[in-house]
Amino acid sequence: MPHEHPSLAHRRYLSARQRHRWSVAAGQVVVLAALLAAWQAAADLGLVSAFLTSRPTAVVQTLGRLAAQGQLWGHLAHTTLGTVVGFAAGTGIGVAIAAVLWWSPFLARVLEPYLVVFNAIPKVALGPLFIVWLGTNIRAVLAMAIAITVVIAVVVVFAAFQETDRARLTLLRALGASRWQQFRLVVVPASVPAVMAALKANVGLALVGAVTGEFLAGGRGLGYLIVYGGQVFDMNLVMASLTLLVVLSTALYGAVSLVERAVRRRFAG
Amino acid sequence: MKGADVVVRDLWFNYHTPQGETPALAGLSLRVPAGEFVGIVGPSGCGKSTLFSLIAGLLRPERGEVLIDGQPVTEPRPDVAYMLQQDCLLEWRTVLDNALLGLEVRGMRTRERVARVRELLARSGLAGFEHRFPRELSGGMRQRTALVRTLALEPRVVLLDEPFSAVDAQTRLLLEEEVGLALRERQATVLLVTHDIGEAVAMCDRVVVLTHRPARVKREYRIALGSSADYSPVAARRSSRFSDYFSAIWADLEVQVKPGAA
Repeated sequence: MPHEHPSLAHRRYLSARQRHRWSVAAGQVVVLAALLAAWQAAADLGLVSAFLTSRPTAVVQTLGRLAAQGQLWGHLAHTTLGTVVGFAAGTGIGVAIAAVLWWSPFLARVLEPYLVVFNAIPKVALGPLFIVWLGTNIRAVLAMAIAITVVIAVVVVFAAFQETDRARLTLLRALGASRWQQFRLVVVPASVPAVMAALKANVGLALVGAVTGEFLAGGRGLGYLIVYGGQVFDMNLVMASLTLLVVLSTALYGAVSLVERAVRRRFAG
Repeated sequence: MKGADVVVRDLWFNYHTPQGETPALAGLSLRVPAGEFVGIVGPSGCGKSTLFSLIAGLLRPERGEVLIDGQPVTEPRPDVAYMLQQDCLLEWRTVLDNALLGLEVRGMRTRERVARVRELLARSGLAGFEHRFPRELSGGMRQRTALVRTLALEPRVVLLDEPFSAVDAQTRLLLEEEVGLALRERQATVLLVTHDIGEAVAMCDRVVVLTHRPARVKREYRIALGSSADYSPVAARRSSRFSDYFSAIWADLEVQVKPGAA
């Protein structure tokens, strides 16, 4: 319990803790700065070929040019849309399938090998199919993001549903609860932390799916920019697009983490 | 509301696995008149929990039947409450919402019943904790919440499956007294499964000793520890006859310990 007047020792402890946190953050910034400086220096001094590796200043210039030409936001929005919608749809479909499998253990046993096989397929290999079926547009990108995220969602969420504490289910049954009531009152809320973990893994995978889809579909998005840059040997463009991807994935992961923390507080035991 | 007659007649039950079948109950019969408080003790794994699952309507017997007030049990009944070893509180529900769980499941949540549950919580020392979450409660308070959840449906038969095994020794004595009083007050028919012989003798009117699996009734003891007017499991332990019952039941169980078994 926090006291109104913390002791000297406690204040020392708190300030040491704070100092430690700041040092870690500072260390992290230093690492980034050192990497960027080394990159810049290596290119400027001719230790590496800037044509192949680009350099931080050139990356910033390229980003500025893309922004000025009005291209940057369109490509960024395309990838963001593909990722977010693919993530939501893939996870939603996955949770729905997991619910059906929980509902019917028979169906779960029947479908198990199919799930294993679909999980084992490298989803990237399905890309040409999606292109042919859906065209070189955002629908193919979405299909790729969904294909990659849906299996993980099914597997993780179904496992969580099955791990629901048996004693709690016995209690519900003794109270006369229907299977739907058991699901709604115990199974779903008890699985929330595991579902959150699946979401965290899936947001990264959705981005992989969206970028891969853009590699193949072409035309728009950060994935397309990277492939295009590679084809015309414009490494400044490749590095600038990668930088945007890093920022985007960090932002999406951060958003999911925030949701997770809020929800976990409510449902964890 | 008074208790109901519970009749267990020639009950047989086996567990089936690909490796074979394990008999759990072999012709167990038991009669508990309305309002009686019966303790059931037996060696570990002798089928006590199976018996409760059958009375609660969670399992179907292979032979024999369970009758409650003369009606065969085929599914869980709202007037039969099952209190398990763990308190099974749902961590994402407040104390009040946990206590109302049974009423909610049965579609019996009304304003009057909610008010009654609040009163039960208050009488169990949980006033002011209605909107707290289980993780904020002590073990004793959690088990009291589980008791209120059990009483909320006004059960006529209460099955207690080692309900105090998860709390510390002092809390256990307190809860024995509280739970025993609350159930006697309501004249509910109570069956208590326990490993604690002392608990069974102190709380119950009668103690039934079961055999090793497959379970059958080995012996019964009618417990008379002096004045039955003021019920108190704590005082019961001080009675001179308490240790007589204790040793007799202990002997019944010990005879069955196989040589070499831990």
